[in-house]
Amino acid sequence: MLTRDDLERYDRQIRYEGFGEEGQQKLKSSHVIVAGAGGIGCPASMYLACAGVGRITIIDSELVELSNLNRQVLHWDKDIGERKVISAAHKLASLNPSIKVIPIAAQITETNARDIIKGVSVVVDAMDNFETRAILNRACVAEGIPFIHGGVWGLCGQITTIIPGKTPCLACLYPQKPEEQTPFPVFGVAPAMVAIIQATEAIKIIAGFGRLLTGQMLYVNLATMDFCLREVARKPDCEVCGSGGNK
Amino acid sequence: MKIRLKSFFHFDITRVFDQNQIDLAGDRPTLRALLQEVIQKSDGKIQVIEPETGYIDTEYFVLLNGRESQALPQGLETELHDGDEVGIGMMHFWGGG
Repeated sequence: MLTRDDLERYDRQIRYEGFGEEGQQKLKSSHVIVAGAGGIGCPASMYLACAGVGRITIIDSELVELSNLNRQVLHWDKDIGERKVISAAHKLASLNPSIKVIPIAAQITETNARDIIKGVSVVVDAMDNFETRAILNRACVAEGIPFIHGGVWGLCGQITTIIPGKTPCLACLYPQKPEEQTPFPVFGVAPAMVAIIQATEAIKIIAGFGRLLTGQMLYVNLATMDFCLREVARKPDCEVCGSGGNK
Repeated sequence: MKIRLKSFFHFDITRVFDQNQIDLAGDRPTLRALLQEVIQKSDGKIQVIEPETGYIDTEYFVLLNGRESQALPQGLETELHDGDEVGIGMMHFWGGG
């Protein structure tokens, strides 16, 4: 049930046609996992918190470092050496005290992934490596939970929304591990933009309005201001969501 | 003939192309000719065509007016027209920031 404070805090979005108090109540009853408290995870969780997602679990095993601060906007100079999830949870709780933020300082593994995500509304991919993304993708497909993928490099980024059983999963698109470079170049604005699109997708899925980035990969390049949508298809023999998989 | 170019790469393409369009010479240039121009102007940094096979490198995608190059009946030999839009990009941007 929305409180008087809720109605005032979320007044501007409740006015959005097709969302209203019903949409706001859905957000309040929802639980989103933000997997990663870095350049994508910080802005994604901020906008989900501002929007009134009732429960946000943020997972990350790392500590805040000086080189994070050009982009990981929930971590400030005074937080260097602190666990990222603790730093993030403090800021999110200040941003919106009416929601519940659950910090988990752990790595996502094959062993714990399904237990962590079980029963949540949406998982936001804010990871920085292929292996953990693959684990999360597999867990989301097995649990039937929407998984919103985002990745960045430099001033480029990509986003797609995965609805298990309906859209291609990450393994359909990337059956093999691509080459990775760490550390990689990145401006803070690139993960911020990707994260805000991911947060928007999460809000639309939960509240049930708008059109989703399903079956499409959105590519963006802020250096040239180019945007393009690429159709992506399920792989019938995908080892995660197809005939070659566990579901 | 002017072709609008959209690009998605790990580096700053504006150092290679200062505008978002390429002026192609010839009466009936093909998609392959445009990609070869891109490869040449980028000093091989954008190796979008595999030299051995002549096909699109699996690390890249190429779209002509929103259609995948593999889905074009004439493939890379498709003739371009003034005002066409070609998108070229890396398949993945894996960082999370």
